[in-house]
Amino acid sequence: MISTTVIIIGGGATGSGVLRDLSMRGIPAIMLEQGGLAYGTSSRFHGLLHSGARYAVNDNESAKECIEENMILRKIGKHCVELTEGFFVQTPEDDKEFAPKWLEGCKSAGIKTEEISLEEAFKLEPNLSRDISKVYKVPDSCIDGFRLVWQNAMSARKYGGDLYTYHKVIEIITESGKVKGVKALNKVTNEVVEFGCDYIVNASGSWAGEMVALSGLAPLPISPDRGTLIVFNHRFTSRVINRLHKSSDGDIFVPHGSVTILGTTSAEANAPDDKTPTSQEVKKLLDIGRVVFPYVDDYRILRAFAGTRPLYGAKGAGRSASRNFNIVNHTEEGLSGFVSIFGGKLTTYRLMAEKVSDVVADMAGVTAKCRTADEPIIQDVSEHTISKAKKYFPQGAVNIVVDRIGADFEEVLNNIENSNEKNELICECEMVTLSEIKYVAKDAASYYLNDIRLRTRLGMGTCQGTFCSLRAIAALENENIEMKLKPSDNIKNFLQERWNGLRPALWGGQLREAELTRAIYLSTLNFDGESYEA
Amino acid sequence: MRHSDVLVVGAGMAGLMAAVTAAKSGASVSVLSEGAGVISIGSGAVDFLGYVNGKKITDNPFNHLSELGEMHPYNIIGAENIKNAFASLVEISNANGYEIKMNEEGLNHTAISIAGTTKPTYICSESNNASRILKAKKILFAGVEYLKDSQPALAVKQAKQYKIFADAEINSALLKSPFGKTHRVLNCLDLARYVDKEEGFNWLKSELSKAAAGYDAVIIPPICGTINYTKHFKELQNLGFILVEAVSIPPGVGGYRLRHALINEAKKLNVKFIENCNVQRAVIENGKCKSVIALHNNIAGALETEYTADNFIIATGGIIGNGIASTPDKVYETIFNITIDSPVSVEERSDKNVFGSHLFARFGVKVNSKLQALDSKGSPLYDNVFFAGNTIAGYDFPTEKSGYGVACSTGYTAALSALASK
Repeated sequence: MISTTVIIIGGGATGSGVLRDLSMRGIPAIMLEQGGLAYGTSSRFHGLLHSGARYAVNDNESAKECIEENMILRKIGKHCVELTEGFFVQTPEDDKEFAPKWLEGCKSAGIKTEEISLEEAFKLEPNLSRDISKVYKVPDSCIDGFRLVWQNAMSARKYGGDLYTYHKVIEIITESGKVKGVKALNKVTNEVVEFGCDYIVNASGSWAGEMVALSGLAPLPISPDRGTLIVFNHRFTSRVINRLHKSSDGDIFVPHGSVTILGTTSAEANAPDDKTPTSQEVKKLLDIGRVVFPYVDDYRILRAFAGTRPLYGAKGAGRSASRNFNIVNHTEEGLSGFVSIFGGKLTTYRLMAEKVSDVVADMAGVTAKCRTADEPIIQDVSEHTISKAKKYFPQGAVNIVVDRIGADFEEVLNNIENSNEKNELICECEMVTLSEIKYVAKDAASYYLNDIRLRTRLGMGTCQGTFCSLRAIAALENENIEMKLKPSDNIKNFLQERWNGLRPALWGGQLREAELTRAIYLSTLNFDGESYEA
Repeated sequence: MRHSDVLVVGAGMAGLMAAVTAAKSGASVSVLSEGAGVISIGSGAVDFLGYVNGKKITDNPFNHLSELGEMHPYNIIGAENIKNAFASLVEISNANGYEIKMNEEGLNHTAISIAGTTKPTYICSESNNASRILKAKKILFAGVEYLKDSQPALAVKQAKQYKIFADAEINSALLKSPFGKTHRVLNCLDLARYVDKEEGFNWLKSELSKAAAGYDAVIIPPICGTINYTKHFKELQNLGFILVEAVSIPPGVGGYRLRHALINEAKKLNVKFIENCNVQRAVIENGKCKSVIALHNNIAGALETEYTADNFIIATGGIIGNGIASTPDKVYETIFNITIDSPVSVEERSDKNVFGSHLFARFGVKVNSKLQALDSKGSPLYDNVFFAGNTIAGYDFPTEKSGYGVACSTGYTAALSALASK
């Protein structure tokens, strides 16, 4: 049995934020995640670091939290954040009465807004619809959810925290009204593993209700709400673009690297992992998106994806339910040592982690204070290292890789220098080189090629893995790095994951791309035939 | 305005086969092509039929045509046309510097891929025919340094799983790259072009001689030259081991060789090629196609050009080639704007399993035995327009392993139909 002080259930932004916070306070903690890190909602949103302006009218308290946390994350998480700024644009379909209310809300929440001329706006964002009549600038930014979760986990490990991915909690062990530990199913080996602990933080997002039910307590009124988003193969906006109206479906465009994300829909979900997008949702998003970017249909859709928001309150409340977070200390219900945190939004993950860590520290009698608002999540790499590395990486790639892996970059560079390898570019879309893949593949939490994707973005660009998955698997074989699946299964598993997101938008350029993938893997490589006859 | 007896749109396998077949009979033929065709990046192995409903064929594929159903292009054109088309392809290719052959007993060949997987194919070069090494005891998979799409360690691991290689010892090695350590991306076509030159050929010969010591057979990526392939391969076979070229993902080199041979033949027969030519639409008069209207992509601000002909062969490809295009609401053929039957829901276009049987794979124009497009009542839409290759409905080349086989045989048949309607 593995023993620790705190078990955190859920490896999303909140869970990894709690793991880091507790570890920094010197409290031993282990995080259990049923899939790879950020398996749930933390990777299934638009990647917007809210300024809070979106909530200025309906939920001013949330808006205040957002702008405060936005400013903190720019400092502590700068490797995950791209400072793009955002626009709120008024289209002919938007109620003109909304703008004054919105300006007032932003003012009261402390969010800086600035109206800019249409001429200037169209110069900055030439693809915007010319029917737009008003444009305001706000301090919105973009954030990489995968990277944020991973970097919190990496930081926590340095402070002694640990994490187990692909471990699904199946039992909460209690004794005389107190938690004693959990049993988790290791989904890679199918073994049941027991963990002992004094406290449990239930940070499992949309699964939070399920976890409470496992403990035998009355279920929490958490209803998963489904949101679908689409990814375009173009960065056709350099800024976050929001509609100047009451929050609604499909009203936010967020640029990320070389792509743009459009979201989000809102509909009641069947289950926490109800995350298969539908073509109806994709078409609906396009219809709404066309009002802001009239040529939206001309951009190839890379994929669609869906996630569930854990909304607290009556089922079916959708957008009107509060997005503020909740902490429930189940001691009051007769189970001591068990705390649930749910609701909230990615932008405020750090604050949520701080508040729930305060509760745990208090119970454990630890007086150390939270330091996560001041200490950067990952350490910078020296200019000297960066300039030394440039000869081993393609143009522009060093800074991208440093943003992904932080101070561990020193180790990667050392490996290249010592092995005198060429450091080939494996994924051309996302600038992932062999050295980075090797570094990530050796991590204890890397079981499948998909895990490498989550950390490096391999296969998340234009080709969606058609060329780079084969290359990556072949390179790992060359380096004698064993993965959990045999090579052909690993590639199939990877392409299947990509496929789930392609199906609802299977037309135009993306259908051509899918057929090219089949021509390569089935026609030339016969992956559907003889690789499985062996 | 240019007039031809036969105007072919598309210069892939189907279009080239149609053009050459028509020109051989004395017709004046023009080919309009937008790009180089999918053939130019393919492996060059011509698959006929390897699997029916997921079950592998181990005897003569002609014995299994009836299992494909009567709507399959093979059954629409019939076995005789297929046989003649294949024989003609082999003859044309061999006469133009790229030697390819069929199995003497009428069976599929076995090819091996750069990933170490094997696949059935019907017509291929001697170097792609891996059946030749089934008795080898010591096999070497050799890659080339920095050729990242062809890594021998993966190939060895995969190949070792097959019963056919159970008794063999298989190892991997890397040939030294002739270009050294550079940031430029190296692919099989770069190396094959280098090997076309004397300097490059000497590099390959010397590296192979060093690496192959003690081996009965050596498998390398397809790098034995492009236009000089046949000559080089013959010489390399004298090195004392069996040399095999693996079939590769794009650029697959073999397809480039095959395309080169077909174009060579077409030029001998005075076929006119108009490249960078994007055909926008067709002009229909009295139920017949009078002309097609094209834009020339490489000329800025070019006007539309009209090309007239007595007969038209449409070989614009399927989904990859963009002969068949799609939106969320419809699927259509791109020149005549023929609507292709497709389900209302986008989800129904595909299967949940990425390697499953997808409906979209069979999207295409429905045709009769002359390869004329049919309307919903089953009557020909245009008397003088014939479809060939992946524009035709009813087959799934990646799962059947019928890639280029259908294209070759329907291209051939479309030309015969066009000649007959003259």
